[in-house]
Amino acid sequence: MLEKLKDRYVIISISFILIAALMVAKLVDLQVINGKKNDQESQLKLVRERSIVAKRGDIVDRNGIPIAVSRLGFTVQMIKAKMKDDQLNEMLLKLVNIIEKNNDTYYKSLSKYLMINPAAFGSSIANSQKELEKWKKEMAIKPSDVEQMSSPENTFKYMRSKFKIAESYSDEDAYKIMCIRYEMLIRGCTNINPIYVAKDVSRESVAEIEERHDEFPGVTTSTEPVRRYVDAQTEAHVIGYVRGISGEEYNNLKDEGYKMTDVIGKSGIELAAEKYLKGKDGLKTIEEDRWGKQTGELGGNPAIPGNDVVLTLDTKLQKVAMESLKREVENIRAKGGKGNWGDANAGAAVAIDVNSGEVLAMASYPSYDPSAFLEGADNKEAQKYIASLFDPKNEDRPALNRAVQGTYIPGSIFKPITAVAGLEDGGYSPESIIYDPGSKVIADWKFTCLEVKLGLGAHGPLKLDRAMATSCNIYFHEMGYNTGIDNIDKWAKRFGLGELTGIDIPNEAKGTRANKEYKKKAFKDDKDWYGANTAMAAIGQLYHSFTPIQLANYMSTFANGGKKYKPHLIKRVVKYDGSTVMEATPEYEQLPVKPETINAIKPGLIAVTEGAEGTAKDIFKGLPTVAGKTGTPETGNEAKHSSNALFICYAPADNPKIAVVVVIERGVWGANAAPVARDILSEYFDLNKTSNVDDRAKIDEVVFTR
Amino acid sequence: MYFVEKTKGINAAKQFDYFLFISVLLLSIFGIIVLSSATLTFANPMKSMTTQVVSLVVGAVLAIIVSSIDYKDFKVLGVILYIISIALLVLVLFMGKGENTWGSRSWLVVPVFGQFQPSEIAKITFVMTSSMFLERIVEGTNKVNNMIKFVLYAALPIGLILLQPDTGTAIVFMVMLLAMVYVAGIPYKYIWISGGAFLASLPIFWFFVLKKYQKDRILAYIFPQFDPKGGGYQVRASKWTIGSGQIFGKGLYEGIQTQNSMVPEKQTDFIFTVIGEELGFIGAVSVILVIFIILLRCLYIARNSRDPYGSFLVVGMSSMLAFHFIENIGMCIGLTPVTGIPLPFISLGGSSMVTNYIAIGIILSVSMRRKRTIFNNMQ
Repeated sequence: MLEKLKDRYVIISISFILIAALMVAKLVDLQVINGKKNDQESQLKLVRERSIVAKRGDIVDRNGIPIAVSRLGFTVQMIKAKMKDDQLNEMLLKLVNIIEKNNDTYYKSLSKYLMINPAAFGSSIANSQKELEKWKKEMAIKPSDVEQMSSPENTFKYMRSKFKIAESYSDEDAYKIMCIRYEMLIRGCTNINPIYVAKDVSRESVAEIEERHDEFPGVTTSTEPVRRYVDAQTEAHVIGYVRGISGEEYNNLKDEGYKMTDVIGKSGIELAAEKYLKGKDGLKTIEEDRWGKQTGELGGNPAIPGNDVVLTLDTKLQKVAMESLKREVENIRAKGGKGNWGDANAGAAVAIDVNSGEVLAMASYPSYDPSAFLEGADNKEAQKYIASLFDPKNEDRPALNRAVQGTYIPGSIFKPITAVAGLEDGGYSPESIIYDPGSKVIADWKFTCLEVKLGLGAHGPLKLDRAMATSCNIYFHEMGYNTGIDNIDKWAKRFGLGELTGIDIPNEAKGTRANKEYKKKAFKDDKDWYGANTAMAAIGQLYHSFTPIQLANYMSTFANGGKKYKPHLIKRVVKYDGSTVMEATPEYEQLPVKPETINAIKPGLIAVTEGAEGTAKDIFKGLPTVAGKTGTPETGNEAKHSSNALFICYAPADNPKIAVVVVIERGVWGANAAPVARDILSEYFDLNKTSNVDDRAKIDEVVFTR
Repeated sequence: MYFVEKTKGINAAKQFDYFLFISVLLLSIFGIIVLSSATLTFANPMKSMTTQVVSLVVGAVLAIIVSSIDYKDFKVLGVILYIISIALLVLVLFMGKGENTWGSRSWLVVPVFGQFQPSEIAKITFVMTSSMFLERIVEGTNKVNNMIKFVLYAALPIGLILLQPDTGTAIVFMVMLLAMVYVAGIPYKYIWISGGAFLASLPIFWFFVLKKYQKDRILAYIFPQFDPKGGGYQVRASKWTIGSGQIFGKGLYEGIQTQNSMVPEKQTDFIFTVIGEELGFIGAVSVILVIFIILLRCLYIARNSRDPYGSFLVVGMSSMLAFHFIENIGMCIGLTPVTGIPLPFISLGGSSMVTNYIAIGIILSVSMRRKRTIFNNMQ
């Protein structure tokens, strides 16, 4: 038994020795016989994975004219090649100097935390002790290191020693090195995970880095798509802008393939259509030599470009709207006159296709340059510009898209709603006569016609068309009072006033309607609704406050006989291969308004632009018949500022195609907004290539018009 | 309860197996040095290195403590420990972690202490109980009864481990079992029969038991040129890396493939590539030599054990080490298929380091109490 047992130990021992011999033989094969070959092959074939950034989709207008596109920019990236700290620091300084010499910028997020000359903590931590302590802890290796970072100067010293930056470097050079070392640290630069040193640099920088390739182990250059806006000031508010992804957004979106270096839509179409515009990054597996030079390609997944978004916007119309707004604002400021404080400063214009709800133009003045948002954190000028856009002290608030975010008291442009309510539910007919004696007591309240206030005499007996043309307040006070607030509110709501239109860009304002419900909510002490409230609401005053897009859609719905379309800006989304990903189909809700009602109100609106007494007469000469309405709401600020000017219209009156709304803040009189609408219509009907405005003298005479 | 006869009157300091202990110590210190190079590219190499050094010290001390226990006490102690380890194996099925990272629930998290694999403990206790029953079988006491017990006691932990499911570890258990049964003197005809049955059942394994990734690994082993980026990539990279070390190696910390992280898991399963590239043929062969000297020494101890129980203990423990050594180095140089088995005393990993040292402690205990050459005649 025992002998057998021992035999087996010998057998196992022998097999062990044989296995060891086999292993050694295999090593001889790998290392001695084929060693040199293996060495050479393997050094040329270090396998790496590189991501390919997908091109962001373009944004184009309805005719395919580009608004936001992507071009190829040069980037500089690096991996951590094996070298000593002082070699690395020296290399980084050389690299930064090349980039700076060609007026390019490199990643410098350290500047948000630490600056030199004079040494100071940066904006991200300077004002928050908590953030400062948190950052220090992230930087520290040992708890005692935090104490070394007592002041900005000492922090600089600490960082200098942390990155082993030699004393021989000047503070400026040390800071440059520190910036990249910091980037390597926080972005987790390793020998397989590259980080960006600089994005969108010049051809010169890239050429020099490539030429001196041997001096920069681990540094590689490549091209990547970069966002570019074409003539962006014109469409800034619609397209919005992209910016580098924030830490919070990254955490929420990393599972969807976002990377820390990605850009993401922050407002407008760029935000609303982010899911369409964002492509899918690709990955390629390549073989490199040990210095980071590509020696082969093993394959991978190509990047899938983002989809192109086709807008309903017409850039030509948009441009006209924007330029005309600017010109009118300047004209109004310049011309003076009664009630004009010379303070017109802003405005919005919206043009909508009445048969589809497509937004043809959406201008908000003043505008801004979204390209500033594409600049890096280190571009001080761009950052200052961005800060000024959001400065609460800046009354112009250029970042605000007034067309969907600005709410305005409508004033007289609300009167067609009162007329619809009066005809549908108030027992009125177009032939009903209301007498305007100049001033009249309605619901225990004495109302005086504006014309009387201006010493021009009362309107006398009025039918609907003349009341609309002259914008007689007494007529609508009485009609509204007798129709009742609930009926007026019902129709205002049906036409989408004070309701979200659902337009496809974010942050739409809802506005408010003057009704019992609102008053109850807003006024604790005086929540009862009085007849005089109804009379005021009927002429578009009191708590009414609507956005231009709501007003445009209301005008469009009126023009097409009660089809309330959903206004939209995205017409189509097209894949890179040309196939359609999404196409907006016009959806509408048919309002229960009788065609007779619309037809009864229409002549009054036409008389506004064509009648002898029209509040916007002579402005639309030479155009197809325009049906419109002016509005000069009282804002309660008349003692200090001019009134707002509002104008809504559609054309041609007999076969409506386009509805236009113009609002000019502090534009003095409603008629002052009409020339903008005229310019837009001229361009739309392609009548007037050199659109101009010199018949203004005539309008000025009619100072009382509203 | 069986009476345990103690080995009396041994001089621990004099009879301690310095040769084995120092060989293992040298191998693990060498491992620390290699590991310091493998972890150089890590974000925080100090953390891994600290864990490894602490495990080495704890392991070595434990080995000395275990060696001072008379291995015959494990006959009693082993059953208790066996029950505990079975309890832990059951517990890990319910509370285990690691499903997402490793694909099997094999880790238990203990507050403060950290996490460990109960199967590591089970390896030791499994050898203890198996050896006990095997001894009774070869000594002829209650043969049938003990054979049934032997099979049941062995099947229980293997079954529980297969439930995790951790096929790799289960295979290690099988190898240990086979080695012990082999030295126990099972007739060759049974070996041929079971070997034949195994071969015959291979198609069943291939089609019904093995998962896709396991089949891929085996295919990659047989046809390494096939799919150079997938399963075969690791092996190709591993062979290139070892080959590029040539005779003298690139020098410690200077390996191009190593320092560029070309071989995945270079700090654990593929640590042999670091040895091959940075220390060359000379380094790699030296390591193989030390390893096989340790293994042969273990066989010598087993052969000269005072009783069959000691022999089986040592064969069980050392077959575990041998399987790890051979499979790990084999896969790195392309001799065996890729499995997730670390290189004992060298790969990064605290719990396997401690387990391996405990195994060495048990072998040392047997060694100290073994028959001395001069007493051979008196036997």
